[in-house]
Amino acid sequence: MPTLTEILARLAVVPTTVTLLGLAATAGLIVAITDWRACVFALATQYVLAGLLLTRVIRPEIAAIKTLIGVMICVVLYITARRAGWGKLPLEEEDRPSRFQLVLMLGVPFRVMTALMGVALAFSAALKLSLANVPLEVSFGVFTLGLMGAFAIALADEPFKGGLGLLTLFTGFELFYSSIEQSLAVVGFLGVVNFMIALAISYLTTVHTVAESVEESEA
Amino acid sequence: MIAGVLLFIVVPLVVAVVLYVVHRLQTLAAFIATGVAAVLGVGALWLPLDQVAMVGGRQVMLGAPVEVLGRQLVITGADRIVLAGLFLVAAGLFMIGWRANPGASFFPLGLAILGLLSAALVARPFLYASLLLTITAVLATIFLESGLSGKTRGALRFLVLMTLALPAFMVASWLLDLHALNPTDTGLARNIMLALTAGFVLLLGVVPFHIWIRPVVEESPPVAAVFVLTVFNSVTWFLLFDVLQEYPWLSSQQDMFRILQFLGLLTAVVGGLLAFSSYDFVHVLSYGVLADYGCGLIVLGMRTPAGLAAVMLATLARPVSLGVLALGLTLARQHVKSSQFEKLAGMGWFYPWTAAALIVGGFSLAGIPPLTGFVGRWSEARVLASAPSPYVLAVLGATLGVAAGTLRGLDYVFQPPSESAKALEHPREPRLMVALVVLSFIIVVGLGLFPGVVESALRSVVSCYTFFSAP
Repeated sequence: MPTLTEILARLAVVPTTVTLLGLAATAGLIVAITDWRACVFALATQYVLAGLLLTRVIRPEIAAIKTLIGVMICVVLYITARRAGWGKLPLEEEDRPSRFQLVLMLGVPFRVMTALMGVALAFSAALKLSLANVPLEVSFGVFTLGLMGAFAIALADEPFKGGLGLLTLFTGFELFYSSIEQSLAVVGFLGVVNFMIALAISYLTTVHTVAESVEESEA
Repeated sequence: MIAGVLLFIVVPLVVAVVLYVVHRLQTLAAFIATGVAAVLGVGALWLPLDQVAMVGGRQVMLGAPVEVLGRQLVITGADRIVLAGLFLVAAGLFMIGWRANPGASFFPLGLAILGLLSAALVARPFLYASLLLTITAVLATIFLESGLSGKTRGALRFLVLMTLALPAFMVASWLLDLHALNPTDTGLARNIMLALTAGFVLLLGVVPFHIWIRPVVEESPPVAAVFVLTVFNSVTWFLLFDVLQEYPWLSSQQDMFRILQFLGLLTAVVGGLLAFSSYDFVHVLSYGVLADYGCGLIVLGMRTPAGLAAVMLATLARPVSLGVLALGLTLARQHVKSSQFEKLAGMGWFYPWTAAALIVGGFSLAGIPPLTGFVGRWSEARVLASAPSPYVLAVLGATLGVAAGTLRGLDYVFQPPSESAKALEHPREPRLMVALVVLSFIIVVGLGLFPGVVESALRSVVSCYTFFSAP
């Protein structure tokens, strides 16, 4: 059975352009859509793609560890989201709006515009602001994830989506920081920080959901 | 031989695990947490730094270094006083928590936070301190929700803003390594200054990154919010001082202090104005503490040892004022289920100790004599005597704003009660809470009248930081 490092090494043949497009798409999904299930899937894919991009600047073993931490974070978030009922909308069958109305109610057009603007900004920032010791393709990944993460935090009105934004932003920062500093102790600490952020988000989401359901039942 | 540093890190963490097991037994948990924090706080003051002492038949040396992952952890002369202050303040807050019902996880998480903050305080280089501080902040997010109010806006904002400081510190650390190789590069020095300033501005909750303070105070148990606003915040201040001490050339970077002073001015003005327009004691606490942070930054920007001493004195006075206010808020929420001025109208006639705690805490936070807050504010005003007038006006304005907000609350609290309110039966204030209020009044007035009791400790801490006195 191949090890995770070997899997990453095999996946490293994926062209950089595809990896970057994938990163932009997954980050864009986290900003644009409100469905928790799709967001967790997007985050997991994002960690794998970020791991692939990292193999260009750090040892595959370390990239594999970072990917593994990301996947574990996604498992925690998946379980939380599932227990919280996937952030369901409390709508009765007869009150359910049409799909088009729902899209407008959730502000999806605005979110999509924000995500597109984020990609455009990231592209121009990567070209104009060169990051020292960081290859251009990684710079694009850094700016894309950083900006999209910030936008996702700004647009979030509950802990789950806000947390996904924070984790996206941190992934972007790790892409940058791994290019300049490869201390194992720092990698370990960053992993702990990431995992603790996921646990905190999980806790806040649970508290938020429980309170909402209590309010609903009281109403 | 046991290194003292391990006592302050490992003991709270181990006891936190034990407390988590017995967290349903709130009284027991409160006593253990208070006892451990108080013993460690007194121990930090009592144990000699560079000599072996016998504790429980074991040799302990407070200043003995410990190596973890190739990094040295060591308690310095300043650290021991700061640790003593942190643990004693935490002990006081745990004691309040005993009767304030802040949630089952308040005590175990509080101790775990103390252990991690101790590690952050003694870890070198500061990159590891900032990583530990971020881990603590994440834990504090859960701690703030220990009351299970169900509202998560404040905790989420706190989590986001505190963790965003980490990238700034990590970049600063990398740039500092580069600067060591190329010390004449002014561009590099400027970037380091900007990264560090960004990190500390985020951690200190300076305007415009103050948006977590009010929701946290609104949604969390008051004692938990005060724990974060004092204990966590104090470590951030001392991390800033440690960084300035470790890299003395930073203290000659005028831009850094200009930025901090300007943001401090903005914070003091915004805090003072918002406190002035308060209609809730939660606002008085939130904006009062914001104004206090701002005043501290203004004075730090003066770049004098006297300014540094004033900031430390204000940092010491803050927990006392906020502790009293937290007691008042807890009692008000227990009796009236609110802390809004309108809802507290006439409350002073039925719950005099609750009203007194709210008013005394508010006035102390404003810096009104003869309360503890005055000591800090007065020393800040004295340092600013030679400063440009906007800074002096901002500090005075902050004092007046918070005092005016408290006065408005006082006006409501002692309004004649309505006939319907008189007809209601009002339960007596809990005796133990009243005893805690009386004890806190003794401390808040005692320290205000006799600040000399902390003078020697303060002097020894200030003397350890020489970055402003260096030629």
